[in-house]
Amino acid sequence: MADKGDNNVERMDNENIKPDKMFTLKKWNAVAMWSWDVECDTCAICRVQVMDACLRCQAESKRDFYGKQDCVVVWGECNHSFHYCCMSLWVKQNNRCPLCQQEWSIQRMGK
Amino acid sequence: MLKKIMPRSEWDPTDTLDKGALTATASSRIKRDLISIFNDPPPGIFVVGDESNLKIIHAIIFGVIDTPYEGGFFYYILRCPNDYPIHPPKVKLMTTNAGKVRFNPNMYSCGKVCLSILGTWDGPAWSPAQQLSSLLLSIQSLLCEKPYFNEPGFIKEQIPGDSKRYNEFLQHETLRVAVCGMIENECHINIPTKLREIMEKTFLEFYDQYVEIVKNNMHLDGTELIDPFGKCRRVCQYKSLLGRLEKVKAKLVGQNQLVSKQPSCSSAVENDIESKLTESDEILFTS
Repeated sequence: MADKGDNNVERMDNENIKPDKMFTLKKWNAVAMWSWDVECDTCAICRVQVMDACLRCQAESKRDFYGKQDCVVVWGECNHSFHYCCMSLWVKQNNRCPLCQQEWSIQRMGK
Repeated sequence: MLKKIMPRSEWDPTDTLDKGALTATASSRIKRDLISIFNDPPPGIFVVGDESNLKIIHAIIFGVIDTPYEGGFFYYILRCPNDYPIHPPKVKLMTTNAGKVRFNPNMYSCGKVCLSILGTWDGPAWSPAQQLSSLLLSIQSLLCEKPYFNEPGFIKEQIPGDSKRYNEFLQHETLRVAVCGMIENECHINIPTKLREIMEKTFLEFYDQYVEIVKNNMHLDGTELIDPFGKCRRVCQYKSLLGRLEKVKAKLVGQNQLVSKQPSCSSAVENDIESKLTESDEILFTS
C-alpha cells in the first residue's frame, strides 16, 4: 500500500506537475520569538526571571523529590515585579520597592 | 549631618568573625554579580573572588584620568553578608599606607568608606537591586576631580585655594602610596596574584603618564603638603618619586624578560608562587 502510494506521488510529480513548478518545498522550520508581557522581567533581588523560580526555590527543589515549587510573582503598586520569596525577605528590612524606593504595597500576585 | 559611630566589626570586612554560611540566594547572587562584572567590566574596575571564601571579593579601582587619583591602584576588600543582597557588603580600602593616609573625605585612613548605600553615612540606603558593579562604581565616583567638596558642608572652600592644595596633596600621595607603594607592596598586603599581574601590566602601560605627572609637579618638590582632613603634613618629594618609579619599571621589565627567556619553566614558577600566595591568603582571611 505504502509503496503504491509513494509511486503514485512520484509519477504525479514527474509527469503532471513538473513542467509548471520551479522548486519543491521539501522541509521547513518555523521559528517563533516570544517575551513576557511585563515591564520588569528579571527579579532585581535574585536576578532570575520572575517567571522562573527564585534562586532559593531552585536550590531547594534540587533536594525535593517533586521539584515543582510554587514560587509566585508579586507586583507592587509601582508595577515593579519580584519573586514573592525574595520580596518577603526584603520588606522585613525596608518596606520600599528596591527599584523605585516607593512605599511597597502589593497590587497583585500570581504567575 | 553627624558622623555615624559604629563598632569596627560593623563595617570592617577584615575584622569580622566568619560566622554561618551564605544562603542559597546569596551564593548564587554573588556568582551572578561576579559573572556580570567579568562579562561587562566597568572601566577601571578589576575584581576577583577569593579562592577560599565566596563571601570575600578583592577589587582594584584604578584612579580615573583628570582626577588627583589618576593612575593610582586603590585596593578594596569586600565581604558579603550571609543574606546578601538583603544587606550590603562590608568594604575596606586597603591602600592607606598602613593606616597613615586618608585618600578622600569619605575614605578614612583606617580604611572605612563612608557611603550611604553601605550604611556608613546618611542618605539613600542600600537596595537589593544594587550589585557589586554598581557598588564599586559608586566608590569610584567618590574618587573624583575635586574631592575636597565631598566633605559634607564644604560647598565653598574654607580658605581660598584649599581644593587645589588638597588635590596637590592627593596627587603626590597617589604616586607615592597608591602607585609605587602598591607595586613595591611596601605594606605587605596579600593582594591576589591576578590583581597583582593586572597592576604590574597597567603600571607599565601608564608609565609615561606617571613620569609626566612627576615632571609637571617638580616645582613643588621640597614644599609642604597639607591634608585639611587628615591634618597631616608631608614634604613633597617628587624627585625621589621619579627614582622609585624608574626602579619599579626596571624591575618589572627585568621580570618580564626573565619570563620570556625561559618559557619552559616560567609557568611552573608562576604556579608555585600562586600556590604560596593562596596559602597566605587563606591565613589572612581565616584568622
